[in-house]
Amino acid sequence: MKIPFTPLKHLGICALVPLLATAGCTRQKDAEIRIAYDVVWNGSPYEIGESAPDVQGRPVQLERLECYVSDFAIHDVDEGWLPIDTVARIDFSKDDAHAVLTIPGEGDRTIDGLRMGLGVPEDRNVDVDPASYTDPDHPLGYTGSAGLHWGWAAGYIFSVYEGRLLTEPNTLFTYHAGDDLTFRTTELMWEEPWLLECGSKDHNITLVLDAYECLHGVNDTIDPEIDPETHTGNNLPLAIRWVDLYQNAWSIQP
Amino acid sequence: MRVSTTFILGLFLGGLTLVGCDCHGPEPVWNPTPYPLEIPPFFPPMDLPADNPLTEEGVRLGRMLFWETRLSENNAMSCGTCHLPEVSFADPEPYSTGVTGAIGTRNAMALINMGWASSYFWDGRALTLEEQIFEPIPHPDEMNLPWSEAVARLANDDTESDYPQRFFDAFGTTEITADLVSKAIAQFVRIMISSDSKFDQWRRGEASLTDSEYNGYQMFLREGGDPEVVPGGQFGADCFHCHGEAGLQFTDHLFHNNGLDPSFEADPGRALVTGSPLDSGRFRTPTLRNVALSGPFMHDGRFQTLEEVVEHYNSGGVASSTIDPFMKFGSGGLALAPSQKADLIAFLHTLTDTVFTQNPAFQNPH
Repeated sequence: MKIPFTPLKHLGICALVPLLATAGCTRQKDAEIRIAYDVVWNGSPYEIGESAPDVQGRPVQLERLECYVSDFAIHDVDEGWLPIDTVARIDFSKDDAHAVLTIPGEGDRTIDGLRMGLGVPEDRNVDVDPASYTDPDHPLGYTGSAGLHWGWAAGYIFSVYEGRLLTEPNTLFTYHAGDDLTFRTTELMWEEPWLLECGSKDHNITLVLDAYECLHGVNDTIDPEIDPETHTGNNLPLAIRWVDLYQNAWSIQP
Repeated sequence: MRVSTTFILGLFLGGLTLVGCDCHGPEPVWNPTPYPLEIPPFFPPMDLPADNPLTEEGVRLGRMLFWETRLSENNAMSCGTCHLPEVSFADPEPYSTGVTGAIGTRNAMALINMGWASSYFWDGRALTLEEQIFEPIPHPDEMNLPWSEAVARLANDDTESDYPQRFFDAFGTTEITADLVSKAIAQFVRIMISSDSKFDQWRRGEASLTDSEYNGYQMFLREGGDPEVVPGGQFGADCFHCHGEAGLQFTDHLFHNNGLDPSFEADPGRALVTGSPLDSGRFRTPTLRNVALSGPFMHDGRFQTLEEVVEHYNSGGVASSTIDPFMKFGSGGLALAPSQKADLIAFLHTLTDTVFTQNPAFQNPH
């Protein structure tokens, strides 16, 4: 049967096209911000495994620096903080350490800040078995969390900072934070807001962790010879001291 | 000459029929049966490669190939020669002996729950099971048979094994390749799952641990060291950092230097793969499942008994440039009392799963 072309049908097609276009646009409107992670030592370029002096001039060799980041938010100058539900595992020994934030599209935004949780949110931590993730490669899944989980009832390791003072004999240090009490948030604002265009995928931010400042802060210094080890549960005060320094060791690359 | 249209049409249709005709009978149909993999309670999902899904036919073929001695130069050695079921598919000798009499340099690892591993060999140089399986057959110190010869032997098989047919059943082709051999064996190894130890039964609420076993489990989970010497020490055995029980696999799948040697000339371990000095002396953490069966222990099989292993960790190990910070080498070791050591070993025995080692589906089918 051949349907005759009628003005009414023509009108229907005309109405459908913008509708379809709108539906497609909504999906495309999601913007992405790619956050790259870099590590420095006292403001200078640094790679895991290198030796660099601490505040007393002793050579420090970091051997493992990993963390979970989560509970992101971007600061829209008009609407305030917009939460973004992302968890990423960052291994600073890898060149491509990064997280990707997907921002639901509601038009262009003007952004002047980023908030980032340092650890795993409480509702995803203790009593959450990595084996329960259907995608084992999820950052909190079985494979994705390898080496960053304390056991099925104990939760995730939020951050790992391990290495040694290359003194004679060597002093090994291990700072593992992972209890809900050690979850921290860092806020990084910038003076010149920038435009996050609807649907844009080409925004890049580099966050820098100064590993030196994880031991030496304005109000506290951790000396690995005196305080070499915490796994949080066995030394909560040291874990809290460490995450407080770690929280303030972040900056955004200009 | 006039030829009728009907005649031409008849010739055309007849030609089409001939072209379509299979003079050798119908093509065999390839219809593999998906393998019903059951993930045990508390285990993570298994990350199966998209290009090698488990099938009944593939697993069956893999089992035959795993035990196939014709894959060795002298027709005397199979994968199962160095991965014996009764010792959790490991080798009771520190080093395996190849077909030429050459001795290996590392202890054959136990094949147990390998479907959850993220790298293979002690140094993690293979990232997939398929990749791992490529190595032992042509290796001169192991089975010493070039892959070309191995696949030719299988392709020309006129025994009841009928490998060409089995490869067709598993992969839809009678063309046997090294790639398909490794895929089949990988399928078989992936279904070798241990989940019925006493500890598994306890976790499922089906069994009770003795006081000694439970104390050992608590030791396993506690931080090591005397708190007077090691800040935060809990007089535990500190096993859980590397042999974590997430997913009930008792390994973190990472690489550690557990303080065996002061230097690494004999075997640099993971550094051979990464080239990083930080990885010198580091080896992959093996699972503790069936550890009571799978000695000797360590990458070089230097310890014969669990008692020796526990004593090594209790001592704190030997200092070196990459010794793991979990080792208590400079602070008096773990300082475990004899009864604590006994409890820890009792716990380790609860990880023994003879249902796994005696599973008829894993034994030699030839």
